[in-house]
Amino acid sequence: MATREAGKKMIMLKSPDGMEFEVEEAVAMESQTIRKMIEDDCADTAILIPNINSKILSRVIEYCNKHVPTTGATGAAASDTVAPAALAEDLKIWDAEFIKVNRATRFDLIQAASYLNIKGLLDLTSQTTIDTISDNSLEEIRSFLSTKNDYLPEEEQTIRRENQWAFQ
Amino acid sequence: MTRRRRRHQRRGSPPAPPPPPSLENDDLLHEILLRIPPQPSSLPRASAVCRRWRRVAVDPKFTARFRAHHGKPPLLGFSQRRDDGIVFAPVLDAPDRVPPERLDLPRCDSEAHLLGCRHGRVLVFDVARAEVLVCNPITGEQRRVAVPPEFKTGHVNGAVLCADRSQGHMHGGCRSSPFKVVLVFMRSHDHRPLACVYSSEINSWGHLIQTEAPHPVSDSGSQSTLVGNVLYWLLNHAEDDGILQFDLDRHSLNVIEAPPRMSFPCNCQIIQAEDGTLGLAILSHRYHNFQVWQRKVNCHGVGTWVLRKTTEMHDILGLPPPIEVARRGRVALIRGYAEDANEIFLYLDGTVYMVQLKSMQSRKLWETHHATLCNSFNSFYMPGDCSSLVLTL
Repeated sequence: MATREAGKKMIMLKSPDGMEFEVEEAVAMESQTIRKMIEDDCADTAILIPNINSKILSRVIEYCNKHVPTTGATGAAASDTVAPAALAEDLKIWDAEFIKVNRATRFDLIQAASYLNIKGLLDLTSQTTIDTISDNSLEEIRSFLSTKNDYLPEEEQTIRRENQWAFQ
Repeated sequence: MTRRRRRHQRRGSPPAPPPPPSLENDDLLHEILLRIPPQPSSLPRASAVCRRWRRVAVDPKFTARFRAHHGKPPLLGFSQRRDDGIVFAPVLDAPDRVPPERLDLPRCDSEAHLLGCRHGRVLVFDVARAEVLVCNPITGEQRRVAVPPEFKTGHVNGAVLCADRSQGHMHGGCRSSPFKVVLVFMRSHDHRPLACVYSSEINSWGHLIQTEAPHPVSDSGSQSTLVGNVLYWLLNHAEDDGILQFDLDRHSLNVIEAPPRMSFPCNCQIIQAEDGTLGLAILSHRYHNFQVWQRKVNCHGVGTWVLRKTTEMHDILGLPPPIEVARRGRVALIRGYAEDANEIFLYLDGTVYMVQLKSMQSRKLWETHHATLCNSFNSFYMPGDCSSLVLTL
């Protein structure tokens, strides 16, 4: 439920495995899905986040905490006092560390970012996946993503022949 | 700040279903494939991974999002007029090097003038048949249209462009969008430049448009440049060079003056200056420097040219130094312009360089003995674009 802590409005997020996370409303609103619930007044009680377990939800909240525009004691946005370039560089380094997770966790994070509609997290997780596989052979891509090649041999040959130059 | 605590699950509430593995969800596969680099080999390769990947890669909803996500389409190469026809010259390395024969235009049996490329289409004037030919080299679609009678008796220039003005349309995937062709012509008997616009939506030409006053000008054979919604071509003039201007919104045709002392038309290029106004790049006679001019129009509609910057050639990284060019008597020519990327193509003794006009950084593109105009061809490349391939997916 929405409470106030030190003047900040708090929101309760619940994972399906029974964990509750009390977060600042501004942090929760990094998720466009949650923002819409709050703006539509559907968030008076705790918000259940289906299909996102507590381990992943806590990582998502960690990401949102880092990326929410912060305000200092005077109320001025932190970005007013820190050079935007330095702030962006700091976030980039933080993101690079944040995304050093195993494949399963990364896929869970993509799914969570997609459901919660957090563009920055979706960009980060999806782009990292693509960067990992983009220089690989088709076999390596299939193996990395546990994807089965369900083409008949002659079908795959036809597909390759269609744009043969792309496979050189 | 975050606080978390374990809460006892209410008795009787159903256990949460286990989350499905990420990539079994088509939406997530969309999200991931969306971020594949826009290079031409990316989606054809992805479509060969498995049936589901191909289904996503050819889904029109996905391809529209892919184009919107990446914005400007990559430069695949140049369309060029050569002795053996209108050919495609790729500039990317394997595996993104689309072979020339894939994007070459069909041979015309008669004299054909390449008038330009824009938004994935190539415009050719077939002189003997007095027709324009609009081709989409990637899909192979083409349309031939007879030109209006007034355009049959002289040198014609023109431009092709996508006519989709809907919100959210990103040029680069304009293959199914309607298009326009703008033809311009210098009528000799009364010195009036003429223009006419063809619309693919109604499959016909509009009425003839002429300048208010006569102008003793001739076409320089330059490529058109689109700045905002206005097309420009360089003209040759008996005394001073000029610029032909066709406003696509107002359907008006005008001749405006060029900057002073612009005396080497082959080394001038109409560009989009900073803040989206008309500009002109001029390479100096002895390859000493590069000037960028901008046309400022005041509140009374009076335009003046302002020299915005002069860059010495030896300050442009990656280009041969002027002293070497002068010593060897090399030829330096501006050979084209990429509107999207604001880059000039410079031919220098068998090599084409690309010079980015904002950063003034250069990059060697390719080696060629053809110093012909480089019509940049930018496009996304989707699997199934060209295909007669039928798969049951």
